[in-house]
Amino acid sequence: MNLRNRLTFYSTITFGIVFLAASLIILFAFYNRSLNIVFNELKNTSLLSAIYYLEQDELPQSEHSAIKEQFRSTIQSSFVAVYNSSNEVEYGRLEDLRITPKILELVRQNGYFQFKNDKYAYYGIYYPDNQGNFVVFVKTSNEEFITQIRSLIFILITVYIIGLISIFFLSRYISNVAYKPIKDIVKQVNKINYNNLEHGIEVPDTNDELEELIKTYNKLFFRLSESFLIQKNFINYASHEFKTPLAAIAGSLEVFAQKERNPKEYKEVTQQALKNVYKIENILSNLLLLSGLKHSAEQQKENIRIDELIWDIHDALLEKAEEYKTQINIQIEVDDFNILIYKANQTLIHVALYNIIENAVKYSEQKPIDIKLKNKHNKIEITIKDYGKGIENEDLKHINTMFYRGKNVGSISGSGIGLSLAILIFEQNGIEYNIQSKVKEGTKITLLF
Amino acid sequence: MSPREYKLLLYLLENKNKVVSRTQILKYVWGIEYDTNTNIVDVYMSYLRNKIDESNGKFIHTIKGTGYMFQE
Repeated sequence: MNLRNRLTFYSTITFGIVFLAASLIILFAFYNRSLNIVFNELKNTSLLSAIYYLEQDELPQSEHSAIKEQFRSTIQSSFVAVYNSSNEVEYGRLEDLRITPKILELVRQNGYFQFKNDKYAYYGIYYPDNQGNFVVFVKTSNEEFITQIRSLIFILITVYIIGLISIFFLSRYISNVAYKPIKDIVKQVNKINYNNLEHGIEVPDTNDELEELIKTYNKLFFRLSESFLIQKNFINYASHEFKTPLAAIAGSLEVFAQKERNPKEYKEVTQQALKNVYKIENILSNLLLLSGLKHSAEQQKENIRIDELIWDIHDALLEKAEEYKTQINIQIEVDDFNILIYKANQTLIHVALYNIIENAVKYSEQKPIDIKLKNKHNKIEITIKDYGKGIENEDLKHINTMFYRGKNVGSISGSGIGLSLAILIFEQNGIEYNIQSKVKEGTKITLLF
Repeated sequence: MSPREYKLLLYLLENKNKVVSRTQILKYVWGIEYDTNTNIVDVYMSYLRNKIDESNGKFIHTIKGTGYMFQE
């Protein structure tokens, strides 16, 4: 049973039960009230009959004739019986076998007695008089009362059935209306796949729980799409980075195996292969570092000259700078070279600085890059500034998310690992960093060693 | 002494008693061929001067408008 049908079913059942109870109460109350009226009337009639038959001798003529008029208009003599003390009918012509001596005895004991059957209602009173002690019995037809009750039952049943049917269709309609947004969501969610995940579901402007639910879902979709992207970038990085050295090893070994080689060639090829193996090892250690498995505490620390590192990176990036048609300008404003000495793991700091400067080159948009080393309260302040693409505000939030790449990277190849790895290294070494960026104006990274 | 300081000193010694221009030094030590208004040569020259004992006389001479010269 789906939600709509269940809603309809429940509301119909609820209405059915409530209305049934209400109908029964109405019927019961009406029945009692009508019966009371019938018996009250009978009581009055019996009193009137008693006076008519038994007070004829005691009342003045004029008064009695008035009662006689009233009696005749109210009741037929065939519906009245006045029993004497020996249970014989003294006046009236009511002969009814249901008025048994036992009942007459009950009237004498209680002063009155009432009962009814399918056709008639009976009422009897005890009337002591100067002519003897009498019991006056009157009866009246039940017909009107039963007709009334029947028509009431008929009305109630009709209303009940019509009510049930209309409630059924009404609640069906209402649940359809209420269910419509859910139906829309189901439709939209069905269309969502790996590629359009980040768009999420259209939010209905209803200001209700549903809107909140959809917003929550959209946030989830967005996070999912991000982690999908990160996963994709990770795979790209890992496969791309591993592929190059592996291909180099395979290539040189293949060529090498083609003929006999002399010891010098053996040495050459093993050295080359080893170089590539170390490269793979280095990538692996970067990955481990990223995953937090390897801590900088395990790394050896030594005194390094930061300016030398910068120069090494400058040299290593010369080719790349040429490729991207840019130029790295380095300025040193430190009078005392002792300040340029920093104790840390050389490889890590090299990796971090290299990644940052490499990024500056890659996104320089052919404008020169400025690197400045300054003495700031006996600490080294390095500013790396480019005037290229810049980073969008939205992407700045993800600056330390691994494998995340900005939306404006265009066709520039990368893995989304460089900057996040650098930041991780800075954080682990207690190096303060500050990144300022504006789209199309460039990025400025300030580091304090 | 850092590698580049050493390289600088080496270059000055190789050209002992000869005046070398900043451009030449820049090209030899740092591999910078393009023209920049950089102060690097002067900065490293001052580091070098601080490192070699000059109590027995000056070794590195600044030749105004031209460059530097190492002279015993």
